[in-house]
Amino acid sequence: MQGLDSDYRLQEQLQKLALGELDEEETYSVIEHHKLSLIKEQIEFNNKLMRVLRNKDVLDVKMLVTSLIIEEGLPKPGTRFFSSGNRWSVWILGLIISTGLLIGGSQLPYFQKWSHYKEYRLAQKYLSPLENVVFTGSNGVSNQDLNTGMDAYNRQEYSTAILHLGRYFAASKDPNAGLYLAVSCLLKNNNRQATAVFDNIVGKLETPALQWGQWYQSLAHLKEGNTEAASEILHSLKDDPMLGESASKLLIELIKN
Amino acid sequence: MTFCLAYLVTIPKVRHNRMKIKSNKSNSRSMPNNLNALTNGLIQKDPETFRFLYRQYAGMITGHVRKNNGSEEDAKEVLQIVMMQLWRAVKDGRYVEEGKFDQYLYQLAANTWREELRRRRNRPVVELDAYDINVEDKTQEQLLHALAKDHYLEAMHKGLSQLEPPCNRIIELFHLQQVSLQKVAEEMEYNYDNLRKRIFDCRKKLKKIVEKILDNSTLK
Repeated sequence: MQGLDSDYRLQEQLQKLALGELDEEETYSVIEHHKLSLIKEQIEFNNKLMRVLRNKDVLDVKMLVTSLIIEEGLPKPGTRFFSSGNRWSVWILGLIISTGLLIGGSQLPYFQKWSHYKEYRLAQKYLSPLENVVFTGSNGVSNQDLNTGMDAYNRQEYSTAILHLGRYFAASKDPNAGLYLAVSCLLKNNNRQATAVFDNIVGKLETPALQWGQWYQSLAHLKEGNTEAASEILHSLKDDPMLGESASKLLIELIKN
Repeated sequence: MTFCLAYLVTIPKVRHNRMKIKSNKSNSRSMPNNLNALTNGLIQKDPETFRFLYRQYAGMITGHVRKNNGSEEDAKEVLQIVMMQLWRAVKDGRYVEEGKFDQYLYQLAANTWREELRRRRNRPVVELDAYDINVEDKTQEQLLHALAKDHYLEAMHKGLSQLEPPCNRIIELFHLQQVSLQKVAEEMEYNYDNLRKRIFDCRKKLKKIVEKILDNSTLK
């Protein structure tokens, strides 16, 4: 409050100074006060500058995380590591997990979320959006969701694409729509969902969508850390004229890993 | 004779190395392999590594904060602090792997949020963004809290990267490395008086950039 008062008084005095209403002594005092506040501001700026320069690395990390929050969005409530613990079912589940861990304790690291980091990175390296080139015929279901979904897919708005293509796929069971739904899920990092859709549609796809489906299915498995399933599919793609080269390269990198 | 001796000495070593390689191969998906790559990515501030960690763990961290009466804003802040703590721990070699990376992250999140709640209880009237911390006087953890909360510092950090040469160099030399003005003038081949004016102009430029960043963003 005192700060505000003195600030207001200073402003008033400055106004009077501009209008030439202050005597010599008052003019001197206002100028000195102004100088002091300028110096204070400079010192504050200096301190902040020093902090930033000294902690540049940490602030780099903060900037990285901030941009991730903007790009990826904050996870929605419900994606919890441990859910609320009052219900009996949770306790029972906890007991089962604990027993499982006691029995297979040595395998614990394999359940950790980072254990497939390299495979994830590898899949990310090879992952790019599938071109919108697969045609799908009319099947008696309104095409509105399909069109909106594919428009969103082309704009790389995968959340919207998942919503509309998911609705269309549920109604039509069209495997081509399912392919773009699964690829959207994969690009949005909903890997488990992507794998489930791929498992459902791959057998129903026709060439060349089939090979594309298998390629993305292997990437989904890889992102989930399921190297064996991914390798198996990649082996089957090795001789494909379109995807053979990429599949072979990825396989080599997987072996090197 | 010398050859035989050397052979006898080296044989066990070679065999030992072979065994080591073999045991690594048998665990091709093994934990240290992946974790080493992950920690290396962290140390190098590789954006894809941070994306991976974000995708794997952001849900757990923000979920913990939300579950314990935290807001969306609190969740964001804790997420930033945890990532900064993790980076620092790995970089300083304080993080020792014992196959408990997930647990370690969860503990960081839980401790950070508990500490924040404790701080709020002790200072209930103070607004989150209002309190300023004198960096030099505080612990590492408190420093990270301060850095996470102070939006002006964030804008200044961004502003510094937008500052063009020679301003960025002058500021770094004078303010960070604390090189005397006389020496900066010599190194950059400036007249001493001109440099003094230049520093003033550079700081003014930086201030303008920072204000513009704050105006254009939601940071303020």
